[in-house]
Amino acid sequence: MSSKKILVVDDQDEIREIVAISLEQVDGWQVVFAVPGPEVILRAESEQPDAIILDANMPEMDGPTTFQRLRANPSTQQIPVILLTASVLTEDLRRFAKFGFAAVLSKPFDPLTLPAQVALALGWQIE
Amino acid sequence: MSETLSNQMRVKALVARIWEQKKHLTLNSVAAIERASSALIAGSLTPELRGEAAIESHKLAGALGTFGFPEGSRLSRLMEEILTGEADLYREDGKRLAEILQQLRRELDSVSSS
Repeated sequence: MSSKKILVVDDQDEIREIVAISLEQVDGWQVVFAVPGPEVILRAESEQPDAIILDANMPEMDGPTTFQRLRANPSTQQIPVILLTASVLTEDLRRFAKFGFAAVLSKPFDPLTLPAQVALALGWQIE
Repeated sequence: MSETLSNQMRVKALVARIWEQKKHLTLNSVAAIERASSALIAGSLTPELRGEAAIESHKLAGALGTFGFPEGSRLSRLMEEILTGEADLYREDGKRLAEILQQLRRELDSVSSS
């Protein structure tokens, strides 16, 4: 099993914890966190994660804006980003589709199946 | 017991533990929406209170299903639809919010006590 490091960014403590519990079910997957806002870019630079999971709706800096900052930075622009969103509005989903996220996943999510959704989106193999 | 089943049970137990540790945050969100509902019925809803309630209902819609309350997410989505946007809200909307909040409280209580 290959090791993967995933940076999780969400302004809700409880969601961050559940994402971590869910993803760390997979042997070799490690979760690290960043506080929403400019720290995400610094953390992504220093950690060089294999993927970033980003909440869409955060007060400090929303998911799409954070994504654009990551893409503008040469040392983070290649990291695949998955957006997690509680929005069901067609206009929001259409807007998100234009950004180039590796995937847009819905909240609420099932903690038991989230790793499979992430693996599928990123072309990773899990047993 | 297979490793997969054991792993799933472990994840469910950890999620349940986080729910117990963090459910006060959910109840804070519900309380914020209740304040907005009461203010709307009383004719004193401010844009700030409405905005806060809209944000909290969005958070609940996105979180409750993950904790095993899919009906809670559905009800929260209904409240978000009422609260989000620029359309004027009326006393009837406040009553509708109050009804949904009552259902949501029942939903959370029923699962918590089961």
